[in-house]
Amino acid sequence: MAVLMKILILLLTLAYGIYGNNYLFLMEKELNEIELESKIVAKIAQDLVGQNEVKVYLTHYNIEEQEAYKKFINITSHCVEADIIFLKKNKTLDSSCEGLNKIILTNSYQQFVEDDTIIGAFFWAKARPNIVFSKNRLKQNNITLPQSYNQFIEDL
Amino acid sequence: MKILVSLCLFYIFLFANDDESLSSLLQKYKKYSDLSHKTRNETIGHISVITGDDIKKMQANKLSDVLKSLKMFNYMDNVYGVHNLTVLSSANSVSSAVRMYLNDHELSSVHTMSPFLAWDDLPLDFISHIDVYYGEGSFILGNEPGTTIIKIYTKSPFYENGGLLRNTISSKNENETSLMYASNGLGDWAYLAFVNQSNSKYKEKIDGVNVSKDSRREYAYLSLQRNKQSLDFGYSDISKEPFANLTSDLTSNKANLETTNYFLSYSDLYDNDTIKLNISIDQSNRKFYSSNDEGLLVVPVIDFTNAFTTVITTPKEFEEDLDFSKYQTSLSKTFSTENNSFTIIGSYKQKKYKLNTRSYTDMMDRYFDNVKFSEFDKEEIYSLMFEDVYRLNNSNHLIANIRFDKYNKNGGLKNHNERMYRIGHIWMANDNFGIKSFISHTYLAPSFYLSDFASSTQTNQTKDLESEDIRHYSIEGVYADENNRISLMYIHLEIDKFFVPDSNTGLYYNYDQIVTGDSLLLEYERQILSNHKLYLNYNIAKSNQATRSSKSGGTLRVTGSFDDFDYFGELIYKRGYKIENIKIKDGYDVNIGVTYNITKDLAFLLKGENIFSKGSKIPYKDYLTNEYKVLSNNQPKALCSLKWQF
Repeated sequence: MAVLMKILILLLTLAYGIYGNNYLFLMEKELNEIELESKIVAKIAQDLVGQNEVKVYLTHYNIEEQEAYKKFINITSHCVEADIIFLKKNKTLDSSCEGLNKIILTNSYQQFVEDDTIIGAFFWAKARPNIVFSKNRLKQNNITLPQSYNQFIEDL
Repeated sequence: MKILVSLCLFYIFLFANDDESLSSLLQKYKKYSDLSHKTRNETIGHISVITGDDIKKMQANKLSDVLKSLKMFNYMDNVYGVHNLTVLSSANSVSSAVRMYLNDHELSSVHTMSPFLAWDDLPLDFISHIDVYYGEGSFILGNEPGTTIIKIYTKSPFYENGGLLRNTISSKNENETSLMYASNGLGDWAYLAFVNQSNSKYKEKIDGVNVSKDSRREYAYLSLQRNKQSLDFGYSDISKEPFANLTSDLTSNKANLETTNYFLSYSDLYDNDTIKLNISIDQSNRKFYSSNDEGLLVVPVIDFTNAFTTVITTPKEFEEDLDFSKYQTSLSKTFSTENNSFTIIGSYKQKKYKLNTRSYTDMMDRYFDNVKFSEFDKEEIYSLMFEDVYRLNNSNHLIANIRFDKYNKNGGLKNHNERMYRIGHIWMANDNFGIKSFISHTYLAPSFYLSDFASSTQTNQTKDLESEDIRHYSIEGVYADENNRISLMYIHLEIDKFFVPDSNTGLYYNYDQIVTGDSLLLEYERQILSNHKLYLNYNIAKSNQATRSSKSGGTLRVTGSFDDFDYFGELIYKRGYKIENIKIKDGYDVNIGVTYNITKDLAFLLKGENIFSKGSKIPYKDYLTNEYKVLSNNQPKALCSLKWQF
C-alpha cells in the first residue's frame, strides 16, 4: 500500500502541469505582452488604492498601448480624475498633473531612484521583469500594501 | 492517504490562485515576453526550438554546443576543421543547404554558401534562443533557398538592461572571455554590445605527424534599437590551423586559414508592422596558405590527362587571398483580412568575389601567379515572392507560396531564371494533436566556390553548373499537452542535377541521376515538475547513394535545477557504418555539466565534454594511400567558467 501511495504521489507530481510550456502549433498569439503588462499594472493599482475600481492616467503611451491597457484598466485622459499616474521612462509629468499629489508609478528604475515623488517602479533588468516600491514613500503617502508585496519593497 | 489528499488540495489551491498572485502574473509576463514566443513562425516549416533556458542549463557557450545534437544531421568537422552539419548518411564536405540567420541577417558565406567557417563557434552569451526550421522556408525570409533554416535571435536590450561577463578555461589550455552590456536608457534608443575572444585547441597524430585545428577567434556585435527600428553590426575574425585542408595525405608541412567578416544590417517596420524593410552589407576576407611535399589537391589546376601530368602539375605550395561582398535589400508588405494573410516580397542582392592573390608552386617547382579558377565573380539576384496563409477554420490553415528568382551572372556563365513553389497545410485536430505537411519544389544555385571547382570536361568547357532541382515532401504529427511534446516527422527528398565531385578529378558536375533520401525524425520533450526537462530525439535516414556518414542516431538529454544548482547530462549517439572497407564504430558522446548559482548574479560552472572519449569518429581519405584515416571529432575535456551578471 505504501509503495502504491508513493507511486501515486510521484505520478500526481509528474502529471501536474502549470509549468508546461509546450505549443502544438502557435498560429495565433492571443496573449500579448502589453496586455499582461497592463494586467500587472491593474493589479498593482488596485492594491495601492485598496479598491477594485481604479482610474489610471498613462503618460506618453501610444494608441496601441492604450488600447491594450483599456482591457484591464479604467484609463482616464484627465490627470485630475486619476487615482494613479503611470509615467513612461524618461518622460516628465504633463503640466495638467502638476501639484495634484497623485500616486505615481514608472517603468524606469533610475527615474524611481532619482525622483522621490514616485512610489514604485515596474521595469525590466537582467532579462527579468521587476517590481519595486519605496518603503519611506509608501509611509509618507499612508499606503499599506498586502503582505504578499513585502518582497517588492525596498528600504528607500 | 492524508498526504495524497493534502497534495491534491495544495495543487487545487495553487491553480485557483494562479491568476491572482502578482508573482505568478510576473512569471507569465516573463514567459509571454520571451522572444521565442514572438519569433516562432509556424508557416516557415517544421520547428525545433532551442530555448534560452536550454542554452543556459546546457552551458552552451558556443553555437557548436547546440548544433551537435540537432536532429536530421551529423555534426562533423570537415577537412578544414570547420564544424559542419551534414544530412544523415551524406558526405562530409562544405554544407550549403543550411541557411543561418542572426536576427534578420543571413550569415552564409558568399564564397561557399555555408555559414560555418566564420560562425560555427559563435558565442551564445548574447543569444536569446534559436529556432530551427526544417523544410524549404526561405520564401518569407527573402533569401537564398535552403532546406533547413537556423534562426538565431539576440537578446533584447529592452529586457536585458544589464551586463554579463564570462570567463572559461579548459583542461586543454583553452580560454574564452565574453562581455555583454545592454541598456534601454538612451532616450528612446536601446543598445546591446557584445565582445568575445577565445582560443581552442585540437591536435591529433596521423602516422606520427601532428594535424591541428587550433584556432583563435574574435567576435563582436552591436545592436541599436528604437521602436521597430534595428541596426545590427556583426564582426568575426578567425585564424586557425586548417586541419587536413587540401593535402593529399592529410598532413601539411605548414598551413593557415584566416577569415574576417563584417556585416551591417538595418530593419524597420512601417504601417502597423505590415511593411518590413531590410538593407544589409557584408564584407569578408579569406586568406589560406598551405604547403605539403606530398601535394595539395587544388584540383582546378591539376592536369589529369595521365598519371605523369597529374603528378607534375600537382601544387606543393598554395596561397590565396580573396575578398567577398554582398549587398542586399528586401521589402515586404502583408495584407491581412480576418481569415487571410497575403504577403508580397521583393528583394535584390548583389554578390562580388575579388581575387587579391592566388599563387602556387607545382611539383616541378614552377611558380604560377594570379591564377583564376573561373571568370565568374559577380552575381545579381532579383526575387519576387508571394505567400498566402488562409485560415479555413479554427483547425485548418492552408499555406501557398510562389517565388521567382532571376540570376544575372558574369564570366561567361548563362543568366538563369528559377521558380520555387510550396503548398502547406496545418491541421489542429484539437488542443493536443495536429499535423503539419508541406510539398515544395525548390532549387540550389551553385556558389562561387562550386563554380571555381566545376569540371570543364563535364560542362562542355563552360564550368557553368546548373542549379540543383529539389523536391521536398514532409509531414509531421505533433502531440502536445502541458508537459509533453512529441513530434514524428517524415521527409522525402528528390534531387535532380545534384552537385557531385567527379571520381577521377574531384571537380564538380551535375549528376545525371535522381538522388533520393528519406528521413524519419522523432523528437520528444517532457517537462518534469517546474524545472526539470527530458529531451529525446532519434533519427533514421535512407538514401539511394552510398553511405558516407552515420545513417541513424539520437540524443537523450536531461536538464534541470534544484536549490542553487543547474545540471545537464547528454548522450549523443551515432550508429556505426561502413565506408568502403572501413568500419566506423558506434559513437557515444557524453556531456555533463553543473552550475552553482552562488548568488542570483554570480555562477560557477563545470562541464565535461565527451567524457568517456567514445564520441563518434570521422573518416578522412588519404589520397596517397587511398585509405581512410579515422579521427575523433571532439576530444574529451573539462571546462570551468565563472559568470557574473551586473
